[in-house]
Amino acid sequence: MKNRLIYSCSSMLRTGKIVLTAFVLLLLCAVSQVSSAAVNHAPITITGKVTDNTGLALIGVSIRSSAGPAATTDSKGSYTLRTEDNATLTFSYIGYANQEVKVNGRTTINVQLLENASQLNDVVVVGYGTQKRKDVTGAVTSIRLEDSPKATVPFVNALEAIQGTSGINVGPSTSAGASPNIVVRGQNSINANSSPLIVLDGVIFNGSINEINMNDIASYDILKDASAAAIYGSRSANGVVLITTKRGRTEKPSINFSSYYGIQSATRIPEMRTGEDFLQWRRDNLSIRGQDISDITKVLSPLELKSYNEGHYIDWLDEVMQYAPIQNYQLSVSGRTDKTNYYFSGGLLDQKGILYNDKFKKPNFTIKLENNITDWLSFGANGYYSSQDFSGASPGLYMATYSSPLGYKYVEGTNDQLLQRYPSGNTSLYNPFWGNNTSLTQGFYDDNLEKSNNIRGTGFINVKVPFIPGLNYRFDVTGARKNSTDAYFHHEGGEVNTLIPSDIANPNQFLSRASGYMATAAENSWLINSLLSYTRSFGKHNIDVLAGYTRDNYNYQRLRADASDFSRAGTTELGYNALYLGVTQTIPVQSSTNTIINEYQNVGYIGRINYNYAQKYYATLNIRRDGNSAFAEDHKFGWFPGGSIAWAISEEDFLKKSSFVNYLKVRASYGKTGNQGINPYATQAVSSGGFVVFGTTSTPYSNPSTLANKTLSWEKTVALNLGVDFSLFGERLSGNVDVYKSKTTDQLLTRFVPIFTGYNSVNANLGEVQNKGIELTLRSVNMKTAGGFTWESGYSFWLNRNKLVHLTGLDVNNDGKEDDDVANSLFIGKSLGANYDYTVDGIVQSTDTEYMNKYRSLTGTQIFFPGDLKIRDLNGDGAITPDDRSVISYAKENFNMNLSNTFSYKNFQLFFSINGIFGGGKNNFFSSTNLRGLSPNGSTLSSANWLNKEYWMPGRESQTTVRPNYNNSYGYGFYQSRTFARLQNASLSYNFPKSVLEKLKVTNLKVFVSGTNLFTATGWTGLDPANGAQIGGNGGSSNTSVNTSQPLMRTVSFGVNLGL
Amino acid sequence: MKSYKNILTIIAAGSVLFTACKDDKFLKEDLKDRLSVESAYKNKAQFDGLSATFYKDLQLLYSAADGPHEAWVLGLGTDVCFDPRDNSAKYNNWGLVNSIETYSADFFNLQYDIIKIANVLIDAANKPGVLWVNEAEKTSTLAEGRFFRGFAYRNLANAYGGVPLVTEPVNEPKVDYQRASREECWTFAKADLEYARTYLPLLATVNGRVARAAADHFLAEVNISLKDYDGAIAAATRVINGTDGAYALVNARFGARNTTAALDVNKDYYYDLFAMGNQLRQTGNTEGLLIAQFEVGPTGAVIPGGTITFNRPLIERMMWSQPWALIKAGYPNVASDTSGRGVAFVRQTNYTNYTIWKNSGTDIRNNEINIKRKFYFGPTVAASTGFKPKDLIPKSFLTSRDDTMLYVFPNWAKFGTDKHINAVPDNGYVRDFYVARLPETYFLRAEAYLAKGDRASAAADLNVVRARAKAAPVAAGDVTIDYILDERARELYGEEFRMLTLARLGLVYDRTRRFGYETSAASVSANNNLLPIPQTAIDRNVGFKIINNPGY
Repeated sequence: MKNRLIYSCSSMLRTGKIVLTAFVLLLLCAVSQVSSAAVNHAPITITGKVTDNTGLALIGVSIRSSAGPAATTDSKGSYTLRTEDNATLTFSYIGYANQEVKVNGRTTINVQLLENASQLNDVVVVGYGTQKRKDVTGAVTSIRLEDSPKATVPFVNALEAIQGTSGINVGPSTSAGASPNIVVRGQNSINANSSPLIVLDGVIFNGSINEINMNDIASYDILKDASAAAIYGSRSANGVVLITTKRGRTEKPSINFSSYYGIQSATRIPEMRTGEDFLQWRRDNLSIRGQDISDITKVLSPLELKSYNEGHYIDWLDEVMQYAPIQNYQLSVSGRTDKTNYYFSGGLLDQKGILYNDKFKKPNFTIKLENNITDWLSFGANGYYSSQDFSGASPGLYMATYSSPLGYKYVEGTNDQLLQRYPSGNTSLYNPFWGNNTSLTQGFYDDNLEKSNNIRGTGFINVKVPFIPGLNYRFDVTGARKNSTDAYFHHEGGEVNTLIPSDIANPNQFLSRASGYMATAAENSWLINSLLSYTRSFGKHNIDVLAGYTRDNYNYQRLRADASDFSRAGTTELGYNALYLGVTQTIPVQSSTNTIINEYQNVGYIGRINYNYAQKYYATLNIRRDGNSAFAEDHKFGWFPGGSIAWAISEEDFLKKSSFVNYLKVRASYGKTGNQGINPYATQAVSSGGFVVFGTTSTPYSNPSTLANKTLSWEKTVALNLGVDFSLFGERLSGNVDVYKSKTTDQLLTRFVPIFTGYNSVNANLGEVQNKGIELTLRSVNMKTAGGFTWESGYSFWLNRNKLVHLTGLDVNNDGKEDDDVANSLFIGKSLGANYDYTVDGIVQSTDTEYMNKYRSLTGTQIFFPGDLKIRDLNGDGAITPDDRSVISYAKENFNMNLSNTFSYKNFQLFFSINGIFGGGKNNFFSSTNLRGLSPNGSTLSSANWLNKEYWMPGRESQTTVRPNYNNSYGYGFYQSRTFARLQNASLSYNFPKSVLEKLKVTNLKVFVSGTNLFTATGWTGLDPANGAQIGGNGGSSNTSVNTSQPLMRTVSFGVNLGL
Repeated sequence: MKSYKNILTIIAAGSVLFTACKDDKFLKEDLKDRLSVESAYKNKAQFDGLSATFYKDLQLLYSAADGPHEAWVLGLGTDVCFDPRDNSAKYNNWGLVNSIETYSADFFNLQYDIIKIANVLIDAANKPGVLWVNEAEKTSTLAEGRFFRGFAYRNLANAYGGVPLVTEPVNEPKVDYQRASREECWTFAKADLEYARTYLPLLATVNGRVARAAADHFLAEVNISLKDYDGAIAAATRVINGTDGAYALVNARFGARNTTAALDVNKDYYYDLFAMGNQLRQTGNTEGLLIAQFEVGPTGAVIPGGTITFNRPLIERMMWSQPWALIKAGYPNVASDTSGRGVAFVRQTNYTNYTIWKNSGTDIRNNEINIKRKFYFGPTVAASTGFKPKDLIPKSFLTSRDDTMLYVFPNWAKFGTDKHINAVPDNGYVRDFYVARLPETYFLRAEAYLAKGDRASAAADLNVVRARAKAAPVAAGDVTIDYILDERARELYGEEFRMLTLARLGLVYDRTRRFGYETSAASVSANNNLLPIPQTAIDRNVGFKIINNPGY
């Protein structure tokens, strides 16, 4: 089934290519056939109705015929016009794009006008409702994806598309089907969740972001300031991302097919040592540890020596990476009638990651239906389904980077059929494909299953209360369920030591060490909204009032069963599907990954008033009262008020006639939002445990595992935002500038506590963090020629500064200032993300005798040796002690920039965007620890490989890198700047002209080439700077200070959109 | 008009339906998959689950992390052993022993985990509402908690000097702990151990749980530290004379290896003490006082809770040399069942391997069974070497540093085996480890006698252990603290917490200087007699500035 689907899809693509060629030929013919026919025609009377894209009648639309006559629409949007039957009618209306329609003898012409490219009239989705862009008083950023150049970029995940928006940092996603993390306006919270709230089609979305189908998304609206977000109360402190999916737009059913095929590769691949460089490295690594390198047999293992003599080198990074295509198919049918709006879509995303066997597949369906039963009652339903399959484990990048290039991937004489478990004969360096059952990576003899399916549905009714004009009631219910299964099985073959022939001959001897588990989890949630709204205009006074109640519930339940020892079964061929065959079967004790039940509930009361006078003076007030079950008794409820005002200066008479200023509005807002980012049960002291053994008997143990905080409650953020929206020079230059300042108190903090308590950490409400920042967004039409060439640019810049104002309030050292919390890396008056460490002045050279002699142990023993870090005695007390540490840099970035350009010429469109995150500055921003990239001993094994760069050796003294056996006894973090700039997205598309489309009887046809993460400029040593990933990504080491994220992917794709 | 009423009904129903239902009730949090600490400990079985955690913590001493980590408490860098892989490693260079040194910090932190559990246990057991079938059930439960708390404070005071005394369960974060004095810690430990030795059973009903003798054993040591030598002698005597149960030094073959099979027949009873499966009382072992337990299935299958890291204790891997990798001697670079898979993360000092065995005579602890000093050429040794397979590898063949530091050095049988489970050398040595064994009780009593000036009694105690080992007796006049430490090394190397013994006696510096590995001896300083308080403990204690031991 799987293969057939792929086959039929790719054959469709092939058809696409043929069609494309045919079209180009047809285009040439069509152009040559253009001629004007001069025939006289009789006048006819035409009637019709003009509406906007929501079906609302447009009053006062002007209609002009190419033959001369004109008309305007009446209060019902209807018009009558008498003109020639071959004329062309031009419909125009302020705020909407002009539309030309050929009469072609028709007597009824209904037209739907689309809103103008000028964003002022765009509908912006705000919490529990919509507003026109020009009526918005808060800091709301809207991104339209449908019909935008970005629609052709191969985004896999719904959040990737909003990268480059000012104030929003979207992290990278690195493996097939992965979800990026996202931060809006800097980090408010020290520890608690800092992801924004996602709202899908008006309903709070609790699921995993990759359940949302990228192709269904019409637009994003991001509520950034506290006033706008406060309507979502306790969950809005990190901003709110409202995602709106597509709807039917035309009366004629529109059938759209879109597809792309892309190739992915790693953005950056570290260069490891090979050949003689490797041999030199190995020799140095052994000799500096005092080991004997007098003879090559002491330097290389027998397998390595054989391989060396044969000149056989393995490029392990190349071995573990695969050809990684991504394919996406989407078919949708949508449309609207007087009574009904519908949108159906189905799609398939099939992605392979760049690491061998990394794959992800997601079929999905969306159904949206809205129906007006009467003119006062309507109802609708949205349904979303997707299933996801992440099954299959990938080789460890850790071993791929550290494995010796000498050795053999397969056991000799097995025709490349049997993997060599220890390719270089060293049992510490296992084959990346084999994995390592005892620790961290799965391999060839391990089965991995990871599947889930999600279904989510919303039903709603809308009642327009007729006897009170403008009063509307909406009630909606959403239910979601996600079922997932994950399983793992370790087969006996994985226990074979391929260096031992008797192991290879009889793998069955290891059946007793086969083991596996299977777990099923169900996630159920429901949510209701009950909303009453009232919208009315009294003369020039426009008001919009909302009151509502909402309640939701989430339940997660997981059950896992384990089995081991399959010696009695004699086989493990049934794997995790037959765990009952194991001699030992257990249900593991409760833990965050095993058998678990998690529940939480929320209730919220919502109120909002929007008022404006003549669309000049605006005021908004909103308030929400929220309750959350995860907080302590008597601390479950919180109030979240917000307010904003705005003045549209350009609507004043003194500016109205200005040709320079088209639109100008200033805004101010203030509000309070909350963060409930803790897990359920954090206020309770719970017991958990595991197993221990008495004699031969397994016995469960249980002990208090968490320290309770019985007063835990919301983290609160109060924020002020000042903003300007402007549109200048005939709308050639528009944009927004926002400045903000926020204060977050009662931080939900996972705070390290002294080990004397027996606990590691506690959840606390503690301290205060300030954020302030500036965001600038500019859009310009740089060039617009009569010849059809346009060049538009977008530029955004954002800078956020973070400061910890208070923490514990303790002043133990009596210096009159509140004390820092070194253990938690929190420093009063400094930014979060501080790197607190020693100051290093390069590398100790053999000539630095003064330094080495000065810093000795109490008995005068030498502590510093040539090739060590030269640590500065910061406090000058003559000894290197922990008191010499200070804040030397920050993980936070300095500022972000994004520049995008769109060039259109006739039917061609070229779009690209460049994204940069900048560090540096006097505070050394955007530095991360890079132990493996900067310290050759980062892998700890003297037999391991390392980067092809210099390091300190006697006689070859490096000024930058320590010696290969530097044991880092001061635990230094080896910091490096992650600054980078990247060609983030690019797309070139071609829209076939009308003449061709008409011949093909299709309404639109577009082909495109596009890409993401195309080029990266950075000084980072390792994988990608965006996630700070070090060499030896995806784990394999117990060193928790190492960022082991996977490599980022670069994608280049080719695609087609076809509309019928 | 009728439809309006319907609308009103819908709105009314919508708002009433979902607000009438009480918010408070809806938001009540209900823990369903775990017990809260308040409700978790209400009867004997639940307390047994709590105290079982102590034994998990004991396992961690032998299976927490790879490399030389587990050798720290056994005396890494002191007179007995060192890291042969890198001369510049910490403890080879005591100058690198600082407050962020992890081996020491991990041991420190583990003690406070034990103390936390003990405090919760002691508090909860005394609460009303616990279902105790009889008073003895309660007192024996309390005694187990107090034993481990006393044990933990003894560990801390010995190694670090005075540490904060936490005596109650911690229910809210406290950040202003202060160090008590070392004497206060020992005194507190003494009170706990006194209670434990009164109320622990003579023989635990569950194999492997602590019994009375262990409490007296540690009480003897704490009394020595408190200079209460009579108390120490009394406590040790209760272990030795049978008051605390039927303990005696083993002097005949027993347990799993006394068959007639070829490999086994030549072993001796000292070897049997360390054979797999032979440590618990029910196997005939009458020496084990406190035992960290490990288990795997007979074919290597994992038993839940039986192991931690790598499905085994890490001692063989850490302590044994790796002759199987000596390729020039004809070994295939693949470990075998008989040779084990030693990685030589730790090597004995010359003191441990040679000095203490000078003129050892008939001492069975130093025979070839118990310390393998002879290694033989492998099956594929090159003819060019002039040797045949199974020839003895002579000293002259071991020419490089690595040859004697990593590949071939004496393997003490107590750390490994020649018959691995399922014949798997890298995962097949899974046995229980002695935290305390009876000979040490004799040594403690000898130490107390010596401190009182009663050298004859001290010699008598030492000679009980020496006689069992078929070693010549020591003369009373020769008994010094150095002699006792030598005898401890002979009998207990790799078992006793050497680091704690030396720190308790204030002899880390002195003994390392005299007998340690050359780089250790050169770098150790007097302040190393106490180990550093971990920096994290100091940094997190933001409410009071803890001053570390001098020199850190």
